[in-house]
Amino acid sequence: MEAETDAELVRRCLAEDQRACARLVSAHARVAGTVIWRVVRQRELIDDLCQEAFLKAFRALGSFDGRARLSTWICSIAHRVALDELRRQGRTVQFAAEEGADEPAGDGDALDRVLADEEVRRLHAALDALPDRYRLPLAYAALQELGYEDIAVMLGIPVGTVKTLVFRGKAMLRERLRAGTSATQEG
Amino acid sequence: MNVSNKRAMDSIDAALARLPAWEPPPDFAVRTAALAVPSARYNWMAPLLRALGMAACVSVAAWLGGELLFAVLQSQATPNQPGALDWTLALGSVLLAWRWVRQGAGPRRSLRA
Repeated sequence: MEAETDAELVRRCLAEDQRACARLVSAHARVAGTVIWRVVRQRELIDDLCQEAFLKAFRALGSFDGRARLSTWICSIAHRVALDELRRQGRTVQFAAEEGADEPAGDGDALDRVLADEEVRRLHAALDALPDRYRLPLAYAALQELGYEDIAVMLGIPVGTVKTLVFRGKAMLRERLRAGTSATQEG
Repeated sequence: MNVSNKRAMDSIDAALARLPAWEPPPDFAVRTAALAVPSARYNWMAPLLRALGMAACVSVAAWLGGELLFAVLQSQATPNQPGALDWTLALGSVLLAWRWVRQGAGPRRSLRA
């Protein structure tokens, strides 16, 4: 995969090479689907929406000029498809992880894992309560595949603004978690 | 940023990194690519249908053209036999049908924008 550049893959897709199209989808489906999930929060919709995003990407592939990375370009389309879906549903942008979707916490003992999971659940709830403009940059920044530059392209805002939003979002999260902990201890 | 703030930010980063990612089903890429580029198995179908439609239109137009020419050369029409105007209308209809066939059975959608 690495030997084949984005430009080469795009060229072959434009020549309607079905295998190349499958390789392109395979390489970017995980991150595109996760972007959609983090916007719409409905797992059952991801497959269809992700497919819609890739079909839109294929139709617009001729206009891909290589200024952004192919993955960034595809994630931008996925982001727009997810926002369109929210608009169709009459919803605003929301974000939270699904209950019970946590991954194993690591090598700690059972109690540590429970505590870690509980912390993550609290963090997810706090993240869900953040204002929209902080929520998505923060959720996207948590994806390893997306850097600040990619998020800036996706959201159509300057890189500096993304960094600021992510930093403030984390600070707000920390405050909310601290307030939640204090309330729990007082209660 | 002091040490406790740094630790708090690190723990938030670690928790954010544990947000679950979507894992596409095994057949997702193949399914999507098949939708993007129709299977080559049926690629011959559209041109064949187009060619058949055009051949039919050309045959009927040629026959009607011949009849029209014959009608024109055979002087005036009688009540039981259609005249040149009728044949002209029929030929026009066939030509319109041909145009419709050509537009309707055009090349399949390209990936190019």
